[in-house]
Amino acid sequence: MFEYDSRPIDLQRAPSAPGGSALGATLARVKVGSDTPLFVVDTGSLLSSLRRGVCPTTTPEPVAYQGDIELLGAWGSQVPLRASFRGVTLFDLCAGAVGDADTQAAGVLGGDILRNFSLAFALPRDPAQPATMTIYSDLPAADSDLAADGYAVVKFNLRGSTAAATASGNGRPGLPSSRVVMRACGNPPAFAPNGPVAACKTGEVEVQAAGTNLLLALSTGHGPLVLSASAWQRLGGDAPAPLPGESALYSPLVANPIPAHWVTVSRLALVDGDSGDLWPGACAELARVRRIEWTLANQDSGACFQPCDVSGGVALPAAAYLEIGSDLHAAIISDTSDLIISLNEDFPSGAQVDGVIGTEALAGVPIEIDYITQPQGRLVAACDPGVDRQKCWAAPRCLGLSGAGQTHACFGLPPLGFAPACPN
Amino acid sequence: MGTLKGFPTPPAMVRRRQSRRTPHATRIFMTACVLMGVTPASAGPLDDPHVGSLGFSGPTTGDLTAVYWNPAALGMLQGNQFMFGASLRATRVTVDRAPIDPMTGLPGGTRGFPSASGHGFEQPIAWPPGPGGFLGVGAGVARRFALALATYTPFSQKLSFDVATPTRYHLVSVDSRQLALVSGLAIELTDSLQVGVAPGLLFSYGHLVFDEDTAIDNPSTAGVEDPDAAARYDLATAGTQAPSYFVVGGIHFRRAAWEAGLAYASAPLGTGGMVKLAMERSQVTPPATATTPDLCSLVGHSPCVSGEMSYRLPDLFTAGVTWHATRHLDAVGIVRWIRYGSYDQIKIRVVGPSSDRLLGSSLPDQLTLYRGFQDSWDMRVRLVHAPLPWFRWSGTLRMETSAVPEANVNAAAVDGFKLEPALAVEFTLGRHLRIGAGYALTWMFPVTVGTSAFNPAAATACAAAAGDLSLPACQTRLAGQARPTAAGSYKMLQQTLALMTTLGF
Repeated sequence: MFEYDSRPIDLQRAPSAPGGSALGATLARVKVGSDTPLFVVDTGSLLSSLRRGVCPTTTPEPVAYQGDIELLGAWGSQVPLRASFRGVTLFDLCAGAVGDADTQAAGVLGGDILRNFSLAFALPRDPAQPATMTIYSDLPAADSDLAADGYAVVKFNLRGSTAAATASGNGRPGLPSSRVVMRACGNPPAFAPNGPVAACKTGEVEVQAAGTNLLLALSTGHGPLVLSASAWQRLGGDAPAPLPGESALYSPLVANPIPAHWVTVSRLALVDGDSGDLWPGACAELARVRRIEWTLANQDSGACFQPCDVSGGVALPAAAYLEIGSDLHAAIISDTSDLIISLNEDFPSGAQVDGVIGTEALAGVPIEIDYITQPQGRLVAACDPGVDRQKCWAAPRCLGLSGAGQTHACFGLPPLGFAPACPN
Repeated sequence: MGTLKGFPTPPAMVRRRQSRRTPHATRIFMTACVLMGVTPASAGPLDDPHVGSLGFSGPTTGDLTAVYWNPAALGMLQGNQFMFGASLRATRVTVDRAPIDPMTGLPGGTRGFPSASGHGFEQPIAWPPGPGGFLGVGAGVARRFALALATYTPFSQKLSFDVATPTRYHLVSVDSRQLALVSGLAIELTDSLQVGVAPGLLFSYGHLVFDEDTAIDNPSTAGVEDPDAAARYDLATAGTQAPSYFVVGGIHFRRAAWEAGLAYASAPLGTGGMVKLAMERSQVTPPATATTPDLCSLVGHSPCVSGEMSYRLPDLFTAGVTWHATRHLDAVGIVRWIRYGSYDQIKIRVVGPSSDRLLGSSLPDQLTLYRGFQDSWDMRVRLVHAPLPWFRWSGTLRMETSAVPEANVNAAAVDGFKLEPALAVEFTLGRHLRIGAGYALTWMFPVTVGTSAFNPAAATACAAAAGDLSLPACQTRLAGQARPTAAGSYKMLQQTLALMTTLGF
């Protein structure tokens, strides 16, 4: 049914925005008869589609069928067959424009198929370099082993399941949850381990948080960071309505261009953590991790753990996180846009998805999206070697020490011993 | 006719025990010394053909080894029984590779190789528990039932070549074990018909070492099979793994002087026979030409590579017939159908440090090792003679077809048609104890691989085509066959020495 060789598949990139550099959506090619049209690889799409024939001028009821995807590499003059997905459910849809009006795709390889794998993406910062996707059957490494090897492991839930429908007599199949949704902290302040101490007394962990909690879908079918207008306002932005002359956002998830207001977001941190009631949120967790890192970095100078980061005299574990910056290109779109509505269609009353993390935001960050590990999937990330911390910082989970005599190595620091808690 | 407490009612082998004569201790000791003096050895590619004992056990044998051979035969247990068996197996493999073309790596050139010898010695006293051991306890209950608990190693492979051997791209060393922990239940449906089932857990352990030719995609840069371009993959589990599940089931029929048994042993259930091993103690050593000699140097801890190895184990059918020809003589025929066809490849994924990124770029992080096994038939005929009440012996001739097609033979999968004569003796000491020993010599008809399934030129061709999976070369690479050729001649000799103790109480 699936055939792939777990070696990198070269991908093209769509423009991140009209007139922008080719750091946007990941594009392969697909074999359709003798043609090899572009094909979007999109972890944010719940379904896979491939149009049988020419695209009609109207938008008919989508029809599903069983078909094959012959995925071709898309870089240089060669278009080698790199993976086959046979007998999969496809929707007879036109994916339309991606990135800009000129980049037309014949279909989408979506999460309903991709969720069967662990996918590694290399997304260079240089648009002259090909992006690659490597398909693995799984990622057989424990979180602790990955952390020891320097990877930030950020767990995620899949969302977006839809029930089967028979609208207009068409047997539209149900779709499994396959959209990667992650908790993030938007616009956290810059941090340096040699900066000033951030005090935090017991019970102040949420008070000391900085930045804005966000819930974002990870989509390789988009270039920029996409935020709803309300999320942008929570980040402190204003004038979310598109200004005259601003480019629209071309998304593979919706048929028509989306009016957008283009801004920059200083930085974004994807933070590992559960969504339980006791979890203080991504920004509070990020602030805690930074305080713990500050303490470890200044331990030789007598630094101690802040009281709000300690339980029973022992520092709490520092969650893994991936911080990306700086000045991320972002499209602000209306909360009532088709894209934001479709992102929240499955959970109208639950936590709202604020937008999309696109591939431009992840440039220079090799990632692996492990859909296979249960009960939660994992985003495994590391920064390219030598990249400035303000552009990319991947912090593996750091376990606290329970007593003297133990050591741990976290945040790229040498092995350190036990540090005490500060007086409250 | 009375029976020895704890032993099944039976065949010639047991029939004479009633006299309770104690064997002469000196004779036993001398026999054991003679047997121990022989260098032990043996082994098929994966399967242990002598689980429990050598020379007496089979699908119609009513002792504790029935949990493996045919759980229905447990129904012949009477009283309580404890059984311990240990096999020492030694394997010697000789590989004489055919010369290759130094430019393409294909057979038929001028570059020759020295002969390589591989050795394996398997014995049960090891941790994780070694192969060749059998430990069981069981009891007949209320005349119609029998229960048993046993542990044994149905599959194992151990072989090691010299580090710089010409077999390095297929195998440097392997130590693979599957330890089974099984409970058995037999029910006597009628006086002549019994059924049995033995569900079990299968604990796996693995350690595999081989080299990867990192220049195989472009041999013009470093040459074919250049040792300086060889990366070493040393992959090992941290002890035994969480178990998989399997089941053995069978029937046993007895009429007049005839007994017949048929059993089926499943592959691991719920996974399509797949076993996945977490290789937590793994190392990958970059080739000498790499800029980073040690993957772990930047993260400051070792091992710094983890991964997974997966493969499919076979299921097997076993059938056996025993004819009690006289009071003192049994004739036994046993056939096993080992469905090795499912053992087609070993898949490996490794994950290394984030800092250098060698794995996944210049060093492959996903490998497929082609095996391409085929079903194998194991047939044996046996005579069991009990000339004295306290003594019996058996002679067995076993033949086994090859589990590896000739083209697929390589250092990691050496097999051919095999002949194995075996002798076994058993003494009864007092009323409760039986001690046995057996020896088997397995000789494989030499295999000459002319056209190897492994084709290094496919790697080059596939890389030149940017990995186009529509091309035969890339399909060859996908199957794990784009490796240095394994053409050459292969010889194997195995010896097995087994000791068995059975206590009835």
